[in-house]
Amino acid sequence: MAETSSGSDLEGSNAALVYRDLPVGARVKRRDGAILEVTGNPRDGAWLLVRVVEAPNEPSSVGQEDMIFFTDVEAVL
Amino acid sequence: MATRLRSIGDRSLRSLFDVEHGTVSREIYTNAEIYQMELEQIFARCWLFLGHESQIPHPGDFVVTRMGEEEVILVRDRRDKRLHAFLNSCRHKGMKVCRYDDGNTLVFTCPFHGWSYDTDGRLVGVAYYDEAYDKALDKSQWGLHEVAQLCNYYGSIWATWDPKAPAFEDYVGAYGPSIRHCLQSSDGEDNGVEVFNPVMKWRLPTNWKVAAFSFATDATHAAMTHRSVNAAAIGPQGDRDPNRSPMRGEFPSEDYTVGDHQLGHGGAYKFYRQPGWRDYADTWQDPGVDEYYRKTNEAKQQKYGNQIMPGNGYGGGHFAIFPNVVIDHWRILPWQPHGVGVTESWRLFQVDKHAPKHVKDAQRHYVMRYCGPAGLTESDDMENWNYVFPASQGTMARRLPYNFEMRMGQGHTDERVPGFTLNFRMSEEPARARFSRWLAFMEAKSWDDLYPVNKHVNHKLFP
Repeated sequence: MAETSSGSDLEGSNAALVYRDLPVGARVKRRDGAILEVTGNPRDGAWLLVRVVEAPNEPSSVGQEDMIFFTDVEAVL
Repeated sequence: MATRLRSIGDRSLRSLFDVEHGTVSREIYTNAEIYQMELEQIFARCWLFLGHESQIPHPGDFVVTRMGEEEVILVRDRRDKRLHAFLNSCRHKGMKVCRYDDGNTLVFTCPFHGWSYDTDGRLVGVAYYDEAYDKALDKSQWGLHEVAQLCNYYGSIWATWDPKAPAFEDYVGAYGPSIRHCLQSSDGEDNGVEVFNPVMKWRLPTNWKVAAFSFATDATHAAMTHRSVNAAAIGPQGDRDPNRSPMRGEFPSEDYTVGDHQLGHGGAYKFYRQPGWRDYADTWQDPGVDEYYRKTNEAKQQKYGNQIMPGNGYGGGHFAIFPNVVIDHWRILPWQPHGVGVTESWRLFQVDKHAPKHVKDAQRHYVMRYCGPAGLTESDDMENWNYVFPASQGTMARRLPYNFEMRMGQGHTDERVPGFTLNFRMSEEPARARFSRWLAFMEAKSWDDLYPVNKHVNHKLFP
């Protein structure tokens, strides 16, 4: 089960609220292992604007800005 | 473009006008096939009013506006602050990507499958991009559909879907300075106003042209239509004293109704006869408001002290920009088509952007009393506009033309305003000019057939 560092359930009925309320600066782990920092939250409970902090599979992407859909989030760090 | 319509007995659109007698067939207002043609021939090609930049001052601010029947998002990019206008329709399956009237956002996310667009229109998020599309979808080709041209004209925002449309300044012609003037603050500074939010919007059971074409100038309607308001002595300022009126400080001028038959614009127009600007006449009941406007009026008098003011200045009356907007010095009035017999009426009211709060409050209360869905005078107008349509669409009623002959053939030209036909203060020249342009657009295959792209054509329909 995907979780936040505080143990919040990312797949349960309140998961959208977790994503909706993630603050700028929070970090999430993508399913491919990349670490992303939240740079903006449209508060739709689905998408996050992020900057790539670590990317073992694609090091050249570090520093790039991207968006991540909630289904690609493995964990909130 | 086919101009013979089966629904009107295989007649041509041109045959719906009797230019000798100044009449116009009611089919133009009531025929659903003609209405559908208007959306394609007029609203997909003309420059249309979208809003005012003061509605979206901050990065990421947006308002949902309209171009014809279709919703358009007017947004200020969150990065470079540039203005964009996009069709409010997801490129994936067509869902609205924005369902709010206004707000501030980082992205526009479609609630259907989650496609997400940045405020510059780029498709930046596709759900299941890896699993479902194997990263093969070319996001760069699937951004929001953007208008072909957008113009910020002294704070007013206009756009067209047609890349072949002329520049906005050419589209409005000699009326450009008038628009600029109406968007000045009361002290005469360019782009000196903001509009009250939210914008008033309501729907009328009538054709869009009933209001948009007649409001261009309808000097003879006021005595009858607004008689009850006048009889009750309820002036816009809530005052019975005729000496307290903004019109008291009139300035020597020549008053006309005008129509530009090549461009379709028209309305009231003033030529000022001498340099300078009128003295301020106390108008307001609200404390401190006259003091503010007296001071700004002095600034304007200094500005125009040695020069003749541009035509159609404050108090010059309203005028119409083809096809569906009327502007004057205190309001912008778009009429949005919503069906052959449904019109969405919008009101944007201007106020000096640097005015103090008590002045803005007084101005806002005044415009609400006067105009809009609950305004005293506009309620009168709506009563007429609402019943014109049902009383015109019946089998018998459609056979009878409308009369637009007032002062027909009595206009003249003036080199001070190239393109204008000037007529008496009470005439239907502005409406006839709109019909000239209306028919030109309905018959034209493209902008190549339309003035000013094609300067060899003459659209003037009536003498």
